[in-house]
Amino acid sequence: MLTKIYFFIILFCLGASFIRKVSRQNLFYIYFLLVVIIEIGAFFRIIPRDIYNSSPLYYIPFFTFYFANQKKTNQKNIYLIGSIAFISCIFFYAFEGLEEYSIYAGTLMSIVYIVYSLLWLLSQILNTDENPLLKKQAFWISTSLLIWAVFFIFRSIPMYSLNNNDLEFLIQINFGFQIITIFSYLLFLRGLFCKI
Amino acid sequence: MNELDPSIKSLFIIAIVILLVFVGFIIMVVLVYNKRQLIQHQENQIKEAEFQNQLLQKELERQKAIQLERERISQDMHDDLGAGISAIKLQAEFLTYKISNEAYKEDIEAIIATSEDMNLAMREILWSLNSKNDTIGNFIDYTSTYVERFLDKTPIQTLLLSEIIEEHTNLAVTARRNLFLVVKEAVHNVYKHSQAKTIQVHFKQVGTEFTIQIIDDGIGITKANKTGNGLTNMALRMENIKGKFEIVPSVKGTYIEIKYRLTTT
Repeated sequence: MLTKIYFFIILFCLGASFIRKVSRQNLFYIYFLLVVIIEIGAFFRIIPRDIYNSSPLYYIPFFTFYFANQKKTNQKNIYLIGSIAFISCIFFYAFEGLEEYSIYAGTLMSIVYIVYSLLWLLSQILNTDENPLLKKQAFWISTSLLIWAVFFIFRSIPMYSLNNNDLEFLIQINFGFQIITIFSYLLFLRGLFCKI
Repeated sequence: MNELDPSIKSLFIIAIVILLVFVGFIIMVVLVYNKRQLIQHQENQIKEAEFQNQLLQKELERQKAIQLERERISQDMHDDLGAGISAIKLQAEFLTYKISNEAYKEDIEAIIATSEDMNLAMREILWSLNSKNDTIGNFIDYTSTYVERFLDKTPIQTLLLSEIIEEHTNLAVTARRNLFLVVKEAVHNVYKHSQAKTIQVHFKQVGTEFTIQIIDDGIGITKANKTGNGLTNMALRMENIKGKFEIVPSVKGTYIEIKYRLTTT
C-alpha cells in the first residue's frame, strides 16, 4: 500500500515537473524521470537493482545544479562542494564496488543535501527580498531534503548492523523511512507548484 | 523483538534531536525572514515617502521659480511697456491739439485708440501673470468688473450672479486666462451679434466643479454664426484646459455653459 502511494506521488511529481514552468526551468523533470526509472524500474525488476546503489552519482550533480542556480552568490561554493562530493563518491565506488549500497556515498549525499539546504536557508536570512519565503520553490525543496537527509543518515548507518542482528527492527525503520520519503516528496510536490 | 542495542538507541535519540533542531531552524528562518521582510518593507515605504517628498520639494521650488519669473515679467511689462504705451498715448493726444489737419487727426485718434487697446490687453496679461490672482474669487471679481465695464456704455443690462463656496480655491494661471478669454469672447459676441437686452453671467461652484453660464435674451445663434471662429476658439480654449464648452438649447437667446474641474491644490 505504502509503495503504491509512493509510486503515485513520484509519478505525480514527474507530471507536475513537466507542467509547471519554474519546475521545468529547474530541470526537475530530469530528476523525477531518474527517480521513476530507478524506483519503479528496480521494484518491478525491469532494470537491475544495482542501479539504485549508484543513485548518489546522479542526485548530487542534480541538486548541485539546482542550488547553484538559486543564488548566484553561493554558486562557486556549491559547485566546489558538489565536485568534491561527486569525486569522493567515485572513490567510494572504486573501493567498495556497486554490488552493495555504499553507506559512505549515501551519507555523503545526505550531508551534501543538508549543507545545500542550510546554505540556501541562511542566504535567505541574509538576503531577504520582497517574495514570501513559503512561496519559493527552493524553500520546500530545502525543507524536504533536510528532513529526508537526517532520517536517511540515521537509517543507513546502522543498516548493515541491524540486518545481521535485528532484522525486524530494520523492517520497522524502513517502514518509517518510507513514510518520511513520502512526506518529503509531498513537500517536493508543494515546491513544484511554486511560481518563484 | 529484541532489546535495542544501547548504541543504536542513542543513535536514534541523536537523530530525533538533530531533526528537531533542523525543524526549529526552519521555523526560525521563516520567522526571521518574515520579520526582515517587514522591516525591509517599512524601510522601502520610508524611502518612497522621502523620494516623494524630494519630488514635491523640487516641484515646489520649480513653482516658486516660475512664480518669481512671472512677477519679474509682469513688473518689467508694467514699468517698461506700460510706461511706453502711456507715453505714446500722451504724445498722440498732444499731437491732436497741435495738428489742425483733419486727415492727420483721424490717424492720431486711431493711434490713441490702439494704445488704449494695448494698455487694456497689457493689463489683462498682467492680471493673468500675477500669481496673487490665482484664486476663483479673484477671477470672478476681475471678470465681473470687465463685463460690467464693457457693457456699461451699451443698452444691454448686465446681471452678475455668483454662488461660490470657497473663494480662495486655487485657479491656475492657464485655466484662469482661458476661462476669462472665453467669457470675454462670449460677452463680445452678445454685444456684436445677439441684439439682446439683458445678459446674465452666472458663476457657480459645486464641489470641485466650476461652472459659468452666459445667458442672453437675444436672437440666438444663427446657422452662419454657429461655425464661426469665435465659438470654435471658445471650445478649443476649454478643451486645452480639459474643460467643457456647451451651447445649451434654449427657447430664446443664447445659453452658453462652460465647466471646469478645479484642482484641490
